[in-house]
Amino acid sequence: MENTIAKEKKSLVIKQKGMRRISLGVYFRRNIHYYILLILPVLYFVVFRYGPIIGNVLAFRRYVPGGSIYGKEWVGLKYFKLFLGDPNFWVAFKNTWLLSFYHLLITVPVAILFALLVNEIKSGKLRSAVQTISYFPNFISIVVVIGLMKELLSPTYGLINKGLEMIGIDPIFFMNEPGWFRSLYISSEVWQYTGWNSIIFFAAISSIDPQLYEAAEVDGAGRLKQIIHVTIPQIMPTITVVYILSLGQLMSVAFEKVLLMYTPSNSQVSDVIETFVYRIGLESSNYSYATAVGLFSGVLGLVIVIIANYLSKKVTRYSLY
Amino acid sequence: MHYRKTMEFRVFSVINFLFMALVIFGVTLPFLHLLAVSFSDSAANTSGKVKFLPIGMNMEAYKFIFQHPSILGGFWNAIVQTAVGTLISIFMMTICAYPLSKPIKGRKVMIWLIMLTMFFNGGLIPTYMLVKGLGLLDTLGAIVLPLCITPYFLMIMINFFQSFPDNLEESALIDGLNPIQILFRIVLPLSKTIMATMILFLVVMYWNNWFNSLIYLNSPDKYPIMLIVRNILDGANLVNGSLTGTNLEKLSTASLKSAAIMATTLPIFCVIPFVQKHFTKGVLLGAVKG
Repeated sequence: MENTIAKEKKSLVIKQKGMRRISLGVYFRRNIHYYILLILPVLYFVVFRYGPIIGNVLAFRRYVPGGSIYGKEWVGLKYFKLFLGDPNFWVAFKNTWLLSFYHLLITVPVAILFALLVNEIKSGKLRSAVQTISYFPNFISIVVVIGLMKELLSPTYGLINKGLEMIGIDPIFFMNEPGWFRSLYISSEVWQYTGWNSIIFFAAISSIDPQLYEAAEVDGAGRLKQIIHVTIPQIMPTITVVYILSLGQLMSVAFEKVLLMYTPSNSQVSDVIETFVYRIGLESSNYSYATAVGLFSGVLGLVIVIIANYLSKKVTRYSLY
Repeated sequence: MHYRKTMEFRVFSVINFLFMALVIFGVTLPFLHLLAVSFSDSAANTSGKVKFLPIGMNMEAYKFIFQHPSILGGFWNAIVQTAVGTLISIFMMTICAYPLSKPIKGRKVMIWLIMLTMFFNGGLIPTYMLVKGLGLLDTLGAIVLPLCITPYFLMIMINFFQSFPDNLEESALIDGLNPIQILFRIVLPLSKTIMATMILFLVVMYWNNWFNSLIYLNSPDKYPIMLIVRNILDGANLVNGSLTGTNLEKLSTASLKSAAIMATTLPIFCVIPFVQKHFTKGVLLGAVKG
């Protein structure tokens, strides 16, 4: 009797290995409760996560209003040919890449820099105050962030333009100026997410062995040199993982933000693939066409993640899976 | 040690201090400005005189917001969406994460299939078609169900349950409890940190969501406050005759917009300090595995 209890203690799950061979049926019966818990979640994933993935067959089929959501008949690559020949698609494609590229180039390094600087604050209270304040914007709705931006940048009464007026610069209609779109997009991302994105780097920094710094100090390294020669190399694995994860988002810019910032006069730079899909699909009801565009960008995004992860594994030995 | 007195140290400290001041003011000043605008009178706002203190102090914008039936309805709808959404999500994620944190058969495959949906989702149109096909358009289900398990949050929870000490559960198992009873009677009461973090994330997610309501809801009386705020900020005309008792001389669109922003954002700001110490831990739990 004691013996069996000891065996059970080894693991919560009654395993097949290390015990008398039990059949699959017995295994499931003994661990049935775990599988009961999983019924609803599995159903959710099948319907709401894999359902839409299968729904992508619509890209190859013609949709008739009122008919099946999977379309009526096969049309092959018709919709893919259609959008590949659409100049508006290529504009959106280029805009997506540029926005993502600038985003990747600026937001991650800013978050790293922020974590490095916060880490240099010696007073613990001040440090946690700065951190807490920097987290706040993360929780604000994008609607509010863009609203805030529009109000501050208003050409008639906005604070920024009033400030420019004082130093003798004419008001700029920032939200309508195509030249300002990307800068505004990136700076609002930096404003909103830098504090939050730095959490992971901050944790990586605080887990560095203090002896490394002591050794560096003995060698005569100042604060700046310690950052360059100790901190940054030590947090490199974290940086790599964060970059790979961000690469996964390369094909999907903050679409809701772009949609909120969209005005007819900045459309030449603000139309990205997802707004293109939204307009074609939901505003003009060209479901199959929009699905084809979405599928194309989704698959491209997945391929990019796989390549990035592979390269990272080769070059730095760090990877996601 | 002479190091503390070096020139480099001083320069560094000054730059760092300025940078931190920039961060603190960069976050707070925009809100202070909008707060001032929301309390200022129409003339001061349209001429752009208001900086960080209200001019011609009045509450007209807030009166308007808290008297307008469709705005009040919007708050109610948002509260319902947030409450129902958060409850369903936290339940579904708990019953999904707990078994997946145990070495059961098929665990690896399931986690892999869940991870895949992080990097490849069905896309906007197929998801919309599915919601439409299920007859969920214009219902609460369309807002709550597609979002109910977020793979990223789920991974955080799985990691948390994995780090949970085994001995408690083992002795409960010997006492004759089954894993479902163990989860609800023993594990959950000891998981307040992760639950607080998840609830904060979920409340914020549902409260801030406007896009799903935009595409899935057709009747304006079901719109949550964020969608209404978006319409106000876009310059939608809310004025349709319901302005009785509102002083138009004092109410400008700028103060109305600012008041709308403050009224929807302040509730969230009030919640964060209470759960603040938990959520960094929660985020890191998810990140450790990376």
